[in-house]
Amino acid sequence: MALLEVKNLKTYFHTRAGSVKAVDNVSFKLGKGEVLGLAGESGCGKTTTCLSIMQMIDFPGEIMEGQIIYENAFEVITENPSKSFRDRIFNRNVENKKRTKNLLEFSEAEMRSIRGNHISMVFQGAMNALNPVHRVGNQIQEVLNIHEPELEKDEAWDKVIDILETVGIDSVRARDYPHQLSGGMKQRALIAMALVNNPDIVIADEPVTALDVIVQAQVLKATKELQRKFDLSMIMITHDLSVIAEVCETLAIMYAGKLVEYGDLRTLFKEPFHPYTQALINAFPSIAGPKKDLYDIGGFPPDLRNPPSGCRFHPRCSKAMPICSKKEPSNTPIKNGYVACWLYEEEEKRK
Amino acid sequence: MTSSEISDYSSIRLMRMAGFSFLGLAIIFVVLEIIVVFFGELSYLSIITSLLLSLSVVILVLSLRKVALQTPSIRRNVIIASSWLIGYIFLTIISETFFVFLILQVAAFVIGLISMLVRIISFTQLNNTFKRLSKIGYNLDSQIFLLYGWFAVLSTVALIVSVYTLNLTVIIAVVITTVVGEISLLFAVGYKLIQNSNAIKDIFEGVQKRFLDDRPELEDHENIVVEAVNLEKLFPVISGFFESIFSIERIKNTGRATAKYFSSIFSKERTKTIKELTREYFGKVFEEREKLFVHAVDDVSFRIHKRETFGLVGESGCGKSTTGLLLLYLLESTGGKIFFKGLDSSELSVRELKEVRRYIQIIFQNPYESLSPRFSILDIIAEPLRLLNIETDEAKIEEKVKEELESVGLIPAEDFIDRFPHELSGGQRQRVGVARAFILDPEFIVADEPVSMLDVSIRVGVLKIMRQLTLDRGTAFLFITHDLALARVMCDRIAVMYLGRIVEQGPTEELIQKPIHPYAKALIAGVPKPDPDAKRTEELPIIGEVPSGIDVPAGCRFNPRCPFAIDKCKIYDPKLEEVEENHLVACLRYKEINDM
Ligand SMILES: Nc1ncnc2c1ncn2[C@@H]1O[C@H](COP(=O)(O)OP(=O)(O)OP(=O)(O)O)[C@@H](O)[C@H]1O
Ligand SMILES: Nc1ncnc2c1ncn2[C@@H]1O[C@H](COP(=O)(O)OP(=O)(O)OP(=O)(O)O)[C@@H](O)[C@H]1O
Ligand code: SF4
Ligand code: SF4
Ligand SMILES: [Mg+2]
Ligand SMILES: [Mg+2]
Repeated sequence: MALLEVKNLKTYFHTRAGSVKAVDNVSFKLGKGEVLGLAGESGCGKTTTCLSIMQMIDFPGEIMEGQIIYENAFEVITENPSKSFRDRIFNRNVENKKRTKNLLEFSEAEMRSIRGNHISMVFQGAMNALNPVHRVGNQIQEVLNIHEPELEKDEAWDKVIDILETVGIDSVRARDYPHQLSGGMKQRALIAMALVNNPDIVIADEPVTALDVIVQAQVLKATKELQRKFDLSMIMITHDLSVIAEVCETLAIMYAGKLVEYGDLRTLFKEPFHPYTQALINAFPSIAGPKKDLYDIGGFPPDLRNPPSGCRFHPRCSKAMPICSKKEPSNTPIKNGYVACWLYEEEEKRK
Repeated sequence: MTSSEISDYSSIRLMRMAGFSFLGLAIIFVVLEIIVVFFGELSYLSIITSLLLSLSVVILVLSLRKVALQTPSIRRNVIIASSWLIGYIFLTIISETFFVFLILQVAAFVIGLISMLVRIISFTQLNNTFKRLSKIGYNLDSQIFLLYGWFAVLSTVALIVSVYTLNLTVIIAVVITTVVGEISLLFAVGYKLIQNSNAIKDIFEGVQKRFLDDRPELEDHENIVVEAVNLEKLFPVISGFFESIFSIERIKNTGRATAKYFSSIFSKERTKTIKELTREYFGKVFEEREKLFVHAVDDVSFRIHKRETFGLVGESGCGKSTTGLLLLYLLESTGGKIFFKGLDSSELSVRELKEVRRYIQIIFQNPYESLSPRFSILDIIAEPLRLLNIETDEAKIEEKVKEELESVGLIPAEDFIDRFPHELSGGQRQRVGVARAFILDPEFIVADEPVSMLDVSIRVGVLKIMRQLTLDRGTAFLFITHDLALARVMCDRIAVMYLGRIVEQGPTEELIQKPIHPYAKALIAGVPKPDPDAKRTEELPIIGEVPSGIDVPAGCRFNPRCPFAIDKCKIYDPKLEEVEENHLVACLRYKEINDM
């Protein structure tokens, strides 16, 4: 049973020049203890997908359609029936009368107790957004207090120290200010902050992108250990396939707002189905094995306001067929996932 | 034996001397105490001990001269500690002189107390010095100094309090405890120092050093486009106000400024009012702070040949960009030389330098910032041509720009020349950057992380174009990156930098398949591999983070993080050594580590 299931999610940004279809019909599942890697080039909608799960899409963005089914959703409803001011004014379905597990139908108050407690997120570039005038430990304690206001100060601090040590920061550094910490340590502190409320699911958006290789390896190692220790489910967003290869079990490739391929990491790395995944993997220079020549995908990513018709990858695809530019391919099931490409849909039909 | 070794030995001797002088101090103390007990002559005792104490510290400081004092923050600490120590002597002398006069005895007491406080500050600073020393790889116990400093203060307070109790037993008890405590602590300090110096000496004697002083001349001398020789760049860092109050630099500057102030006030042809001069003077005195230095690039040498791409890799802050800027003559080096086609840049006139610059171009990291948003693509690429008056005929310029655009894959060129940067994607912009760098047919190009802002899927295109153009036109290329996998596809030779030094340099494949230096090994092991079966080593070989370029570790710079570090690594700074043809490594133990 999947812990989290995203079904046909659509999130658009309504700009003056037209709607940016940042997430268009994206579906995937996340099991308990599973680590999902979400990869794709810049601007393909990775961050937007995850912000939609957290329901933190701001104007001009809007979640148009879809379902986000969270298995433990009922815990929140019984746990936290308090109404927020906004809920009362707009008389939103405060008690979740329908008793659905779809987070998109949850009230703002319910979502607030989901965020952090059940699903927490390490935001992209948050390393530089730590408050410079507060000690790192206090910032984590603050997060803790939001969700457990009844906790004693000393107890809370103990918990902060605890979590910092788990991510590999010495307890004495808890009283440091962010500028006293190195990039790797800041990133660890952020992971600690995301973990402090014992969430089920952690979404990490580009957690190691700005770090040096060695520090990167250190942080990833700590993350992987934590994930195993707490049996966390994680979504790891990155444009770096090697990072995903290292920590994830499932791979989801996004291109121009669409999930083009989704499935078991090992299978896909060995034998990618979608031409874009193939190209992406080939475009990665590697330090292991014999030296191979670089493979150039060619072309440029499309503008999401007017994405190409049919398959969005067709202007750059080396295997494009006439049908590709006319009709959008649907999802063809593969092992543990699907691929959206005409090459396989045809095959399927012929069978 | 080289000269540096001799001075290392002398520092060991000095450290041992300091230890003995502390021991001697303890013995003198015993004698003096006896004199006091029998003759009741108190006032000279303190003066003599304070002078002796300072002398011991001076010797200790001298012993640190060779290695430790080259580290700016340690030097600063020692200077501060010594300044306070001088204050301590001074105050002791005053207080003891006052003691002779009955009326001034209260003042003497107070001053005596203050002198003790000053002493503890001084010893705290010494303690800090030792802490820093241990940070850069020295294993010296420092707590003993702190203990000693505090003990001195507490014992003085106890003495004064006990005197007021007017109880002879108490006084005697306190005096005895104080004296015994002080003497044993002095012994401890002395003993520790001697022990340390012995340990260091043992290391020295076990060392067999084979350094290469002169690297052999390469045969293809003609082909060398750029050569860096012992390049050095130090960046001053401004230190805190209080920390610099006692610095020698500061005293010098203040003296200089004062002299200038008075001479300009009294000079006949004065152009400024006294008020202005005073303001200027105080501005100078208060703003001139002691300077610490970041060793951004320290003794870096390499050669780049025609048609060759040379890669500089390393962690953030190791000095890659600084090296690039030095080679572009955009930064002035603080040491070393740069030869461009055999011309020594330091000997060129400004005009000649300008001429040389024409043949050296740069490709920037950030394609979003490096292109002026109000220029059209045509103007951006043609800018160098026009600026240097190389071509004046507009039709020809356009022709050339189009050619260049096509060579970087922006086809058809007519579509692009009239666009503005914001109408291009990141990859297209970076191609424009490449076209601009190549339009003057330069001999040498520096590219500092040229694709790190670009997406993986468009990186390859830009890289391929750069590689093609360097090969086609025979350009020498310096490729700066922190991504070893990228360096592998781009470079013919790679140099790995760590804390301002090159630690390993060699042909790309050789270096990547078979790194020799422990840091290069760790860096290569740390590179993520896009392959789920080739997990990065579960146990990372190196721990911790790069030290700051201010506190450069003594000995081998990598020693605090190196898994193979032994004691001699904390003392000797390994030089680059040719271990195989064209393969240079700076490590004392490379043979043992690699079974060579
Ligand atoms: N507030 C907004 N207003 C308009 N468009 C937006 C907004 N936020 C994001 N977008 C657009 O949505 C698309 C997806 O953005 P998103 O941040 O999800 O990409 P991403 O995959 O996370 O990229 P990156 O790797 O650069 O972080 C982009 O084309 C972006 O321009
Ligand atoms: N203008 C400056 N003033 C003071 N220090 C500087 C200056 N420029 C660079 N430094 C310091 O010099 C050292 C080397 O910097 P440099 O930019 O060359 O590193 P780098 O190897 O290019 O790092 P990165 O990979 O992060 O670009 C760093 O410690 C840096 O803080
Ligand atoms: S659907 Fe057609 S264009 Fe799209 S990826 Fe498959 S083959 Fe290429
Ligand atoms: S010299 Fe010593 S510390 Fe430096 S890299 Fe070699 S073994 Fe390590
Ligand atoms: Mg993002
Ligand atoms: Mg740099």
